[in-house]
Amino acid sequence: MVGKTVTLTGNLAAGKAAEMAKPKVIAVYPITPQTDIIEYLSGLVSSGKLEARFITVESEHSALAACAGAAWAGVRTFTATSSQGLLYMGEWVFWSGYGRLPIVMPVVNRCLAPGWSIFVDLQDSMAFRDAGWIQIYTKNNQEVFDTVLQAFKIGESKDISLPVMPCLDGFVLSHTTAKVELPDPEEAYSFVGDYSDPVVEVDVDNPWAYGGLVGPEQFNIARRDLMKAMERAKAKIIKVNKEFEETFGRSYGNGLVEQYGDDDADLTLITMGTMGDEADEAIDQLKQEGYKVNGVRVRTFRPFPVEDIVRIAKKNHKLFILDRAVSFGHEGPLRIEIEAALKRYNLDIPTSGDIVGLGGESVPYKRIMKIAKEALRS
Amino acid sequence: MTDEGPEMPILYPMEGSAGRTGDWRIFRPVVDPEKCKKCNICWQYCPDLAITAANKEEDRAIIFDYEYCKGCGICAKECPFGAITMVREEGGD
Repeated sequence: MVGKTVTLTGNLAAGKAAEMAKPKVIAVYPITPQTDIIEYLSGLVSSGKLEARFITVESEHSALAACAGAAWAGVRTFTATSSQGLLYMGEWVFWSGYGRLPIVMPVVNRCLAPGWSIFVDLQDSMAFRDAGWIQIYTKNNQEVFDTVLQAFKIGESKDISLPVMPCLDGFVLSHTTAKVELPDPEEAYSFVGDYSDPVVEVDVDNPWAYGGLVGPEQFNIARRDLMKAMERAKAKIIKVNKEFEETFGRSYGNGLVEQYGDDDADLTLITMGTMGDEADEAIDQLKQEGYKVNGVRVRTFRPFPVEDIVRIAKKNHKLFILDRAVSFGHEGPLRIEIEAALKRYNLDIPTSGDIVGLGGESVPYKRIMKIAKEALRS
Repeated sequence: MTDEGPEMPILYPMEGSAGRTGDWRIFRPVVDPEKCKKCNICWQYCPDLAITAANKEEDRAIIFDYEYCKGCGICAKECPFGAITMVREEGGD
């Protein structure tokens, strides 16, 4: 059986990728705009098409706690959430990250209340950037499928042992149908591989406990190991991106960042998520009008691709960062990271930026063109 | 660690890692071997593994490990036959 080209929503793309990775335990609680992912998987399990334990729970807190238990037992584990649901999971998000449990959990990005809204911004997942999860932001439904598949391979490798949060823009991707190339399921599964050598595993003959009292020495050994694992994850993500290209013919930049446009441009636009796709269109249009603009889409926010940002920034005169979240009392989280990366390498490159697209505000390419022209003038 | 997985503070069970917790006891559980039916319900409930299970074949009642028994009284509460009584420790402060 060979792959096929179909049309799928972003949610269904995430669900299909999870299906092909064959998780053994799925524990979930529904929340808009994520619900389609788990509805799809629930249907597969109840009709016997997917051999997994599907645990329905009373809250997101329990959903991720159940996943953590399953991950500790040493099986492939999957869940998904959004917005308020992610916040309610909060305690277990940190437990899973600091506990090095390779759970895969797509987060369908949705803004946080109040005011009450179900539309996209990145405030929800950004609030968990320090939870020890790998975060990969996607630009279209194809990348959603590909990233969820890659997430198992990245997180479950023993030298990484981290949970992965593939992020997709709510509604813009989750509920919008677009073309997706699906691989042959067997080929997809063999790419991910069996989770036969789990990073942790329950052993009834040699019982152990996790979460007990530890002194500062053991505590710091664990935290420093997590820091190193995040550094190693950069190379791992690049490697998996390359292997994915060799197997399926698709890649996303080097895996950490995706660049679009001229290296020696007068302005570099730095974006994340679907804004990156709109920025590519804006760059093409601007080129026709005689402007030299470069685009960089940050794919992995954690680990943050400091080296790639610096390498690209060095060739440019000016950076403009588009954030879809706010760190109140400072700037957009992406801009904070970019400026810190430049400072670390003592690069004196002018940066500016804007916070756009909060609460589902549309950021089409025409608006990005306008923003770019203003940035070039200033 | 790269090949053997992550560095995590995993705890393995061992005897008396918190010292001789029997010193904490205010009430001491005492078993009446005549009343003990060797059902081992107390042994299942003991949170500190401070009870050696009774043996029906040897007609031997449960045995308390007073080195580690904290005197919580759960065994006395759970015993369906009233075979365990909590007796105030002598001395103390």
